Amino acid sequence: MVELKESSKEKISGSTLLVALGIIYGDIGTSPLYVLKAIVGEKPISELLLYGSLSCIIWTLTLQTTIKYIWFTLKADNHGEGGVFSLYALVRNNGKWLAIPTIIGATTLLADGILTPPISVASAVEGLTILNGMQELQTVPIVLLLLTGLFFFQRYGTKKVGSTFGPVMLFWFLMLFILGFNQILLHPTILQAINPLLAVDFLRSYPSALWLLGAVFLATTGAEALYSDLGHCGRKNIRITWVGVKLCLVTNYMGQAVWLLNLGEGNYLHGMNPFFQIMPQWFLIPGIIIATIATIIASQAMISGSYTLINEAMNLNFWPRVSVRQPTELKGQIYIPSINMLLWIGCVLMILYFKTSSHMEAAYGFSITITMLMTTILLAYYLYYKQKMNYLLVLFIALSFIFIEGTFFIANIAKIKERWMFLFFELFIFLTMYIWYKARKINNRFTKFVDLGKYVHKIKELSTDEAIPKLATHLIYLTKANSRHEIEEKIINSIFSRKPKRADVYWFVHIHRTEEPFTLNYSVSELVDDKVIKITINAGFRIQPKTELYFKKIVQELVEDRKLNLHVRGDGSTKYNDEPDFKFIVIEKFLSIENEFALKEGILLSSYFYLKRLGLSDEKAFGLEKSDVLVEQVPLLFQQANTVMLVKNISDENEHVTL
Amino acid sequence: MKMSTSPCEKFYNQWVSQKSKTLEIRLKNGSSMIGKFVSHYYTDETMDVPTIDRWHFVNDQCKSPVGIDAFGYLIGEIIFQKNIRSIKFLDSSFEIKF
Repeated sequence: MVELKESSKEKISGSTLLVALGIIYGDIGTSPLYVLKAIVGEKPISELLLYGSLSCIIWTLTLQTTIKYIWFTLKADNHGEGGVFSLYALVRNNGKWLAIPTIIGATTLLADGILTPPISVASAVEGLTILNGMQELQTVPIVLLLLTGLFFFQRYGTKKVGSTFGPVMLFWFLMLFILGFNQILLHPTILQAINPLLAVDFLRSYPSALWLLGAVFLATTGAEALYSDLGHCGRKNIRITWVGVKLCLVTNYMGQAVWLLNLGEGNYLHGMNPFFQIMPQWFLIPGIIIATIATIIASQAMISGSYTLINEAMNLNFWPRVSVRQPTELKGQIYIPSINMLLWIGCVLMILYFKTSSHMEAAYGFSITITMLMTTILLAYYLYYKQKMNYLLVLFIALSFIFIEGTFFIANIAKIKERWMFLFFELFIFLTMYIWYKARKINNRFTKFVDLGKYVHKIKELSTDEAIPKLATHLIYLTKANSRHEIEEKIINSIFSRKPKRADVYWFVHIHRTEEPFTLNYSVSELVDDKVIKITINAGFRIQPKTELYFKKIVQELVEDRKLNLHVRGDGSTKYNDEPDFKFIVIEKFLSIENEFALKEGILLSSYFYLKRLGLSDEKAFGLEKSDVLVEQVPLLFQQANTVMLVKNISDENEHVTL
Repeated sequence: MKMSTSPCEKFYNQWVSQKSKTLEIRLKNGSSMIGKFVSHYYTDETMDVPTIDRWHFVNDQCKSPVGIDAFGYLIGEIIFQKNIRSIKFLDSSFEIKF
């Protein structure tokens, strides 16, 4: 087994902590822009409302963010990587049905992700309306412009500006702390809100308090991002920075609550945003600018997170192959044009539909409760099967979080009427993932394998048969067969049927997707010396499959190690070039009209092939577009019609032959 | 790839190592036939422990390497593993019961 790449270890330093601040806290860190405004809304100010809701925020951040995500979920790292698909990769062998919560979790994460940039940026830009003479400012075009610019520049990556994210977010959190702390000094008794009994009292006594939890929940919507971005920052960096981040967030929420208390019992907010109200007048413009930059950073994190999510989904066979680009050489930084377009359209529609952040608050957060519930299910499997935790303890942990998240889910249900259009988007994402996953399973179930050993001598014979014209010096097939002595029947058929394909060396390359995210190694089995060679490339689910590049490197290494003798036999190079002659054969399946399906399988497979046509071709998906590729089409026959009433008419004698 | 530890796995290993692959198959419905397996299907080959659930069976006279005629139609028949009672290798007399 040869390693193609080495993994890096987690480091902790001032700069890694800054990177963590810049990448993962954008969403949760910009929540103070709208949480208390959403809670108070048009209700009269009261101590019960403010102390109670503040206590709910603090304990939500503690139970949901600190205990569930920072403590438990971050344990479930898949060789340093986090997120719903990484977690699924860890537990998928413990239950086939876990694919369903994974698909639901990913779908809902992506759906609420569409609202994260509009709500954050709109909340910040709306701060401008509190400036003198700007009360009537139309913020929608500004938000549209900022987000359109953000999506446009995705293709260039964030290498140049990425280094500023950390310092900007550090400044942002310091600002949150200072602004909040100044207010707490005016009313130190606000610290009593730490008492969880105030939250209990609020939920029991305040009218319709349960529904207000929908707004309280907005304080923790970014918690899932802490886990998704685990790979970028590392567990220790996230845990260390969270201590400071939580302190700044709680301080700011307290400061806003103090300002609201000072408005006086029974008074109304009248559309003001307490976040900007606690800023001194002279600091308003810089404060709004910093808030806008922080929300753009938060949006950037969401967009990058969506690319990563779809990339993982593709590699785990939950999403059709689409074009993935690497705009910079930064590790893990990718750009997916189709997803960028989808998110941009989604964000623009959201801005045009909701117009203001207040309207978005009423719709935001519902889906993320579902994501969190799905993560809890997967996490319970992880703790039980991988961490070998006592099942009663796992049950207690799982039920506790299901209770909390279930309560938030119920509180957020009312948001459905504001966000009904998301259901279409969610249905589209869910169906795409479900169809792709299920149809591939059916497809795999109907893939025939043969014993390669049985054909080795025939291949050898064909290779030396001068009567057959030579197709290539090196003929390379991509195979799904995991076992070294197996291969798909369609490959053998391709070699021998019709015009047999003669070559000097036959290569069978299998790309095995591993549970580990960044594995990249290979093994070689020579079934016939220098004639029939099987290569297995183990690639993690975060790795882009660049088959051509890997293959070239493997051949170079084999030649250097003298395990492959290209020169004795002749490598196909001529006096006109030094390049060996490699030909890849890609076998593409199509759905034959001869199939007879049950209704469900028929719909699934027809949809699958439709999606396949929309996605990347196989040669592009495997990174072979620069190579000499021959694409062969083979019918995918699941249930072939085998009875046919065919009648032969012989006109003179009226003879009928029935088949 | 690991196979599940079962009579099916034992048979598969023998089948791979056996030079002459002529078999006598007895099905649970009482019928028997002589021929060879040319290919097989897995329940789900992406799982860690996949199992073979169907075999493509052809008689000994079949010339096609993979049991498909020139038009792509199947020669022989597909036999479900669950319907097999026993398989015997005619040359070695190795027999396995399911």
